[in-house]
Amino acid sequence: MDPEATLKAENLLYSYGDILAVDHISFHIGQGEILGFLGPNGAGKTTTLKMLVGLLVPQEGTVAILGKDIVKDKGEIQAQIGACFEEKSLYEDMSAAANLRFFASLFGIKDLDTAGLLRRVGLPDDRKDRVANYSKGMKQRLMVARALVNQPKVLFLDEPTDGLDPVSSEAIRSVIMEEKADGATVFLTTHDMMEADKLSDRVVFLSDGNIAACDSPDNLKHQYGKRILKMRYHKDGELIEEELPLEDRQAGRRIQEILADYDVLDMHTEEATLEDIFIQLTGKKLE
Amino acid sequence: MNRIISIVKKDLAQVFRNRFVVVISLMVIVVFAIIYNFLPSDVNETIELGFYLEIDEAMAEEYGLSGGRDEIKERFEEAGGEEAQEGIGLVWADTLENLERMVEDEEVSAGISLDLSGQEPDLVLFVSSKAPDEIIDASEAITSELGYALIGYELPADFEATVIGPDMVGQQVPMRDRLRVMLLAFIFILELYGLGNLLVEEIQHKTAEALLVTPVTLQDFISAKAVTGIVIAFTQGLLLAFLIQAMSVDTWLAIVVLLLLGAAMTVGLAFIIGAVSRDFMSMVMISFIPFVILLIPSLVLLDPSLSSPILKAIPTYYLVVPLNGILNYQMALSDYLAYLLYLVLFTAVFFVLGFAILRRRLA
Repeated sequence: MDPEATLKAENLLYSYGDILAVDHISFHIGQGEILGFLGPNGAGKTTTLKMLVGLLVPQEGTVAILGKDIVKDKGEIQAQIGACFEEKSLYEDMSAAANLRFFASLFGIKDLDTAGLLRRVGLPDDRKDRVANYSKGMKQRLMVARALVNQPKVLFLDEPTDGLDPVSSEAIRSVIMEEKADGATVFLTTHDMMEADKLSDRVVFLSDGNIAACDSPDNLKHQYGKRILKMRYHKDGELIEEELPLEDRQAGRRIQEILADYDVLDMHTEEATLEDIFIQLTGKKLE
Repeated sequence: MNRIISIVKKDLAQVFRNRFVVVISLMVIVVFAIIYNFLPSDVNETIELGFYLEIDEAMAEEYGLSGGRDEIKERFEEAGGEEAQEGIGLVWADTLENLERMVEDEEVSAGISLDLSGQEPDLVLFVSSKAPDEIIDASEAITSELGYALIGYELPADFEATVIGPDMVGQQVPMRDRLRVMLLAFIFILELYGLGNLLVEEIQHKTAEALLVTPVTLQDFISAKAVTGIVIAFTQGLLLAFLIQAMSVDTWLAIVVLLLLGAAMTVGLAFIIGAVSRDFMSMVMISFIPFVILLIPSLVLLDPSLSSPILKAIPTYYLVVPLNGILNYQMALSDYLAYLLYLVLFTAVFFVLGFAILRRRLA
């Protein structure tokens, strides 16, 4: 484990009565790194997140963020983190700016540039109406903006783009990448494999409270996936579709034969997705 | 401290932004004030007694009652003096059956039948089974006196007048003054919904969770809600106290202390109710029974015959009794120190329980 890690979770365990939600898991995140925490509903993602941000006390194990223990130094850590949960937890009868100002005041921030923060997540900075009138995507963007009011060193995002339109999703992804570029550490839970692949430096596969794999998306694909070349061609008037594993030594010769002997319609390579690998490792689908 | 102030400011702004809540809260106060001011400020101390007389001519002559009803009334007034003339009204019944019906239908507080047609005078008192003890006792005493006044000697019946509790003769409290204690208690009990809702909304909409991921602690959160709740409940109580003339030069300090303690106790109870409720509707359902129970001590002031030792187990008893004593019987706050102690104890217990339930709920 990286001794310089911004976040270290060791041997975490949490159960709700007889139901074991998180079963002795350990992982770490380095500074400026995005860790994608992937798993289907009920895998233990949100329970883990709640332990990391101090909402739940681990029944076993420890969480250290920025070198401090979340149980012993909760207030100190919470002053330096930002969290955005899946469920919309906004004061809907207040304006967006009032929501941000209120949360900033809890961090002792008096001169927050609310307009700038709203613009950053793609929200209009001059709306004075209630958040209740906002669309789902706008509320989610505001949730992300709220998580940024204290310029956090560690950002926790729980399914930040779940069910959003492409424009809102892209706006949120841009903000995540900007935060990473500014040196923030990001813990991202999602069950969207495409998003995890696009944003994460490393991903954790969580299944039934256990970590099934933890590595970079490329390494996982290299380790567990198969690269295939798909070719479609006409042979004696019939359309043939052939898959050639690229790792196979005979593949090169076979490709040359097809190109020489037949009328090739199209050919393209295919990589295993994170979803394929997740299924391969856990035997479960993400949704 | 700054975090608590921030939450309180936000909560108060939210409450005042909700026009429905503001209108309802003000309307309740205004309606209560109107009810109080429209009720009569004097007390009807007259007891209506039904009277049936069975007498033959010879006996009437013997007892000097040949003047009939007028004679009896005159004798009675002579015996009872001015107080009796003002305090007791005689309603004549033509037959014994009529007298019994009048008592049964509660047209009169009690009925007296005097039979002077036989060898021995026979005096019977009829009292409705629904009549409170005080009325039965008073009627017995009156009947005994009446018998003496009419026939010249005390009847052999065992009539005993016993005064239970403080003797309020001449210092009865008008209904509206007893009612204002109930109104003050009621305004706090109504606040259970408003204050409970402050918590329920934060839990239901997960904003409490969002707050607790910032440097806000659970203690900060609960302290802020307590301050907001006490400010709202106390302000409403104070406003109502002014409107129902409960704040005089002599009583204002005691009333302010009681309103503050009452507001704090209500907030503590609202914490428990808010912490166990899922949403506003479930809160209304859950708080219905406590709502009714808390109201009982103030209702008993309106009808003392309902008084029972079990009232001492109800927290609002320790608010209502001092309020009643100070507002209606010129008592001092120092006469109720034990009550204040109980109020503080109940408040502390409610806060501790509410805190524990809320901590569990948010975890």
